[in-house]
Amino acid sequence: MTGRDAPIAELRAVTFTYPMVSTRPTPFRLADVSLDVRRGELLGVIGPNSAGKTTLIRVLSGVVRATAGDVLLEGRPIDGFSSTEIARRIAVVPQALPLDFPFTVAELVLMGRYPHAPERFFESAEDQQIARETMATTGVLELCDAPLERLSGGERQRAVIARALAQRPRLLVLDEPMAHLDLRHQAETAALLLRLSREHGISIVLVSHDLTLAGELSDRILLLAEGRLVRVGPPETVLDADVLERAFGCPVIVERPDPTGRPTVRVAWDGRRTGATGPGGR
Amino acid sequence: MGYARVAEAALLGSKPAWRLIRTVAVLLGCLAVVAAVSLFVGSAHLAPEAVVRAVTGRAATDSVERVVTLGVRLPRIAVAMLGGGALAVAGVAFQALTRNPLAEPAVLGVSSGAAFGVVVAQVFGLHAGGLAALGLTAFAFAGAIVAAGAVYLIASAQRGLAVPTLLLAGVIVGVFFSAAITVLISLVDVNRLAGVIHWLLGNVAPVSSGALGVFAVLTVLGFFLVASRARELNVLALGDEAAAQLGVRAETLKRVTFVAAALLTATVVAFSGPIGFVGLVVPHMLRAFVGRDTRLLAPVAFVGGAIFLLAADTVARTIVAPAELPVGVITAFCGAPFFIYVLRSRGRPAP
Repeated sequence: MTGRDAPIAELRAVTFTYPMVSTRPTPFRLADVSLDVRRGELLGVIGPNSAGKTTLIRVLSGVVRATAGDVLLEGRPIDGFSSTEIARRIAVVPQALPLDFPFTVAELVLMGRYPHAPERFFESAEDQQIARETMATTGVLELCDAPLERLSGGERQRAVIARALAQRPRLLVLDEPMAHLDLRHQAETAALLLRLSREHGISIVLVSHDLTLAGELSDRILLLAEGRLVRVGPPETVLDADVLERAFGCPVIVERPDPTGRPTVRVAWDGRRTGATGPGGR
Repeated sequence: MGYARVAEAALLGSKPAWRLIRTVAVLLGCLAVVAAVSLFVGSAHLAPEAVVRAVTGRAATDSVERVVTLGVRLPRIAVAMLGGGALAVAGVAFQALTRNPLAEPAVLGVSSGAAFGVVVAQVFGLHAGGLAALGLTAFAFAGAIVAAGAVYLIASAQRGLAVPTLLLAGVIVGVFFSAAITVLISLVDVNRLAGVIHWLLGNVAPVSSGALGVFAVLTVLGFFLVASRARELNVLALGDEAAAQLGVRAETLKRVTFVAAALLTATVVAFSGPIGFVGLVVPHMLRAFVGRDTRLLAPVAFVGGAIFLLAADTVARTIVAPAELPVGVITAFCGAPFFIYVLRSRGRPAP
């Protein structure tokens, strides 16, 4: 499969280890992971700390090369793409902006146009138009001349997503986008991601520590642990108490409020496991 | 007023290119005025008509006004303008590179490294005239690269270039090279020590036309290396990895900018000594007018730096006339309080 029919991104038996820094053997950060990111899907990525989630993003976005295995974009090896070609296809929303990032919202969003014409000194009128559209999409157009340092966490997040959208990506990768947001801003970001996926047809990879949220939003979920792919599939099959307990190493409670709804996941604080059968189990 | 209206203005109305041209035009006007003032004042007490006569070529070949105006004041004005522009652009480059608004050639110790290079070159008998100027600059450049590299290594031993670590590393490297200079001079010719200390404060002196050509070419080269990568330098503010994910080759960009900033610093040090704080004061003041965009800031700082150093040098050679101060004294008196002010205003908690 190549071109239009191929998955937007594909990992084939990808292994990645960071270069040795000391004499002790470095652990695998990704070990033999195979995965395809389908067009238009919202793929949740979950797993304990240092499971390889961020490494997965770095391999996918081409900032590090897989030690073994193949990474394909639209059916072609990622090595054949220049860094700007990758950036026109994949946009990454990092966990946080640098704290003293000194630019305005519009300036940030226009940076997203860089990979489309890196040789240009100033952005074109078309770049400005696209930046305006993406700021409108994420609801920060009226903030466009505000310095980012003055914005709330939610506003900053939407500005960064607008920057990523200005790249006109086919795949949007978000690393913990909800981490520092309050409930309202979480809800707004979630609604935005669903809209981007459903209406704009953008594939989304969403790395999240909030398993319930990942379950709510995702078409499929990928569970990583210790660099290995544990399970990938619809939320109902991956969000399974036994599977999660083994991956996270702590007792969890998975509840299904009704047979059609998405599962919710919480930690069993006192270590008692009350079962995965629903609220009646307590 | 709200941000909405401003937003319309920024995105729809004034294009950045026009803003750049307007700002540069205004600053060039200021520069012309300062240069004119500088041409007419000085310890020689020439009458204004005499200066005009000299500039328009109507003065006798070896008249006082001709020698003073064309042989002393004009070259000195040119050196001050080039040096100020170079130092301000070097400041812009170091600030973008380290993501630190206090980074600047002198603060980072790069000027001291370059000064050490110059002293070594002088020990070998090179002087700032004609082709020898190129050799002098090469030594200064080597010193600047060593110093900047040392600062970078010291500060990056910890993860990331934290602001205080970087500044401390710069101060330490600066102290080291100053000590090395003193040792070298003491060993070679202790009688020259006083002169060297004078030079180490930074001193704009007229240079031969050949050397001025070298100075101009290297400065313009350094400026274009920085300015042509201004858009990438903006993106670099996102962090190395995020910049790479936008298609910027961060490592190449940083290396080129690093070399360009070292070159600009070395050139100025070779001709005028390690003048401090221009790279701090000028970009910081101009950000109030053009914002943080390096594409606007680099060219604007080039002209703004020229104005600043020319004005400072004009003050330096008139304020205690008939004696004169090294221009570095003036820039330090402006720059040191400014440094404290910027340091303190950065200390306030993020909103």
